Amino acid sequence: MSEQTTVTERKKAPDKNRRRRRRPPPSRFEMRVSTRYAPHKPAEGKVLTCTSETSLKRPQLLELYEYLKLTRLVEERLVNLYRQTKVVGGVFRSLGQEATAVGSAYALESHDFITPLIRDLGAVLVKGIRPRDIFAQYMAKAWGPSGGKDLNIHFGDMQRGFIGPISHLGDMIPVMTGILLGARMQKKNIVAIAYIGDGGMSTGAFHEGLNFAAVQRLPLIIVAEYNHYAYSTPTSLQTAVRDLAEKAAGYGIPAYIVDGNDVVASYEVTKQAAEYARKGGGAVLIEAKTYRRKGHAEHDDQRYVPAGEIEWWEKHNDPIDRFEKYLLNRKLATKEELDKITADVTKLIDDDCAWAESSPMPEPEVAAHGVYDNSIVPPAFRPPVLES
Amino acid sequence: MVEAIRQGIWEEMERDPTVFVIGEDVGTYGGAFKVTDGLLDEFGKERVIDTPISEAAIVGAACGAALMGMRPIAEFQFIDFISAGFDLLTNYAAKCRYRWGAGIAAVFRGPCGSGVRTGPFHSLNAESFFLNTAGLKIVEPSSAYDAKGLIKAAIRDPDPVLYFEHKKLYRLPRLREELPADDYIVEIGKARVVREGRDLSVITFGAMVLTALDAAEELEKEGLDVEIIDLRTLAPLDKETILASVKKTSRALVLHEASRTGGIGGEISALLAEEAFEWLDAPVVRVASIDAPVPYSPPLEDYYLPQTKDVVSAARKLAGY
Repeated sequence: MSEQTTVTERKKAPDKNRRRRRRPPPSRFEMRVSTRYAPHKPAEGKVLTCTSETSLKRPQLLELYEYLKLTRLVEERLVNLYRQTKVVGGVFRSLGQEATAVGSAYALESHDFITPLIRDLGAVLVKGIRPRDIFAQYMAKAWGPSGGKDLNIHFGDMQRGFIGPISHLGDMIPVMTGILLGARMQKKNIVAIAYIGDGGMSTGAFHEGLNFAAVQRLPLIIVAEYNHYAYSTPTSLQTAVRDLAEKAAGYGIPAYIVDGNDVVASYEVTKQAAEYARKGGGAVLIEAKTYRRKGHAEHDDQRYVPAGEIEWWEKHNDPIDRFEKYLLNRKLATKEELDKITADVTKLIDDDCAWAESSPMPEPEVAAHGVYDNSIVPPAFRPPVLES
Repeated sequence: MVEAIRQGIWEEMERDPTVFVIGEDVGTYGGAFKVTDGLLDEFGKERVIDTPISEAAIVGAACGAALMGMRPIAEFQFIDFISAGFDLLTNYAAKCRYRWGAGIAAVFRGPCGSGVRTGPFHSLNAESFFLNTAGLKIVEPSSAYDAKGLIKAAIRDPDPVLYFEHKKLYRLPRLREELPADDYIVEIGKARVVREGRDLSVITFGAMVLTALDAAEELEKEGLDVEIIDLRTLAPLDKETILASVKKTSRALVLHEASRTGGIGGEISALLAEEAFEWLDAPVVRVASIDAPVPYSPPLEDYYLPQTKDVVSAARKLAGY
């Protein structure tokens, strides 16, 4: 931890007669929460952009921009497909919180692992999963990575270090703990991010998994996304803590609070956390303050959101707007360069979407395959009735 | 039987460096029933991992490690506590291969079963909770030979295997036997004909195999020749062996220790009704525990559980058809 804030301010020893002035030991109740990259109100008359405290160079910054745009535009294309009834299930948006997923995943090495939530498409794309796979999954196509058996980002790619989630929130925390336990036995020096939300942190599996990871000092980075709503439930009905980072103290691990709508800050904090974890520090928690601008899924009318709230975030705190201003103001990119990136991303999406649309639907009998290793147990075909 | 399981785990850990043990009190203490005794000294704490009291952590971590190519053997201190790992077992371990081709090669084992006065929370037979979950294999041995052969097969299996050990059989003198010195496995998915007979098939598994054997001895005196099938694997079921036996004897009695309603007996009865109807000379009969939690006090538990006399009287009725 490079910077820490404490609940109780350390005071100088008042007794001048003491011979030795030793630094008092840290309070047992000191909370190790770094707030260096936490959100702050901009100065009067200034707009929000991104932090200047970064080691990122221009090509990396442009790549971050590319992933942000890719994430948003893939989701927008999914909404179009949904409205054309080409998506079989629901569409889940990360609108307004893309910077958390993109910035954090970008801070990892290629051999590191992530397990995202449904609103972390950006992290999945950073890990190298192609948009075509996402389109095929949503449209329940045969060419999707799960062959039509499961939906959206519910699949995995061990080579790319991507373990897809299941719908049960919290479950992936103990699973990722096992990934890291296995890696340690195999002498692989990897770290992993497990994403969770203000809602998912209420589950027992979250607690049990993180507690075990902390006890074992496994290099697990929890990225806890405070996006204000779990389906319709506000965070105030989810937990009594003000900051999710407070919960880290219960596991004896350090925490960071980061402005999750600042892609550069998300990157920097995760980079620090990953270094800490990789060097043997153990588990760490990053709370990313962000905001979910769309409903739980496309069908959700968001009647539970106070009037004007979404509009405020859209106007003043959109992660892509903020990053664009940052790049332009600091002359790191021109408008033309950013437009070119957007055009390239759109072209990729067009191509990948066309590929996914051209995929056939799966053959019905595929449903029977792969319950077990079929070289040992035969597929679960429909049995003939009254034929013996 | 404890020694047979321990040997099996030991040999697999020696053979394959990816095999490891994870659970509560499995290290220094050697497990509540000493199944993992001595493993820590031999294989070290990297491969014999004590966990917090958290079945979700145990199951989840086993799944994650399995995805990395390890072969975890996860222990539940009592199988009753499998309920605390139920979600990860049924939603994660069971469905991973189906969803994205990533088989979870892990063993989830622990002591099950009643009849040892351990009350409602240490006596469970859990198989019915999992029979309706495709993707899990379930085995339960009734002999030392099978215990060793099945644990080795389970460890080598590419899919998740629930391995139930009846605690009553752990140190039962009756089960003592010399095990072969050479490496062997008992194939998952294969039942065993424990006793051959002409008149009646008793289909059972676990500790109830011994109850069936006792009943068969008594029935033999009455001239009734009972065949006993030990299922050994409950999922996937060895339909061939069950059907072959019943087609031979034309009478079937299904015997199990879990409560009757929703138990595996119903599944086997349905199988026989669908696929052996023309061979049956009598209705298929279930002998199982009553539909109640497992009680603690001996007279209550004895009433709860199927006894030898219950099997004998049911068999007599069946033979009367």
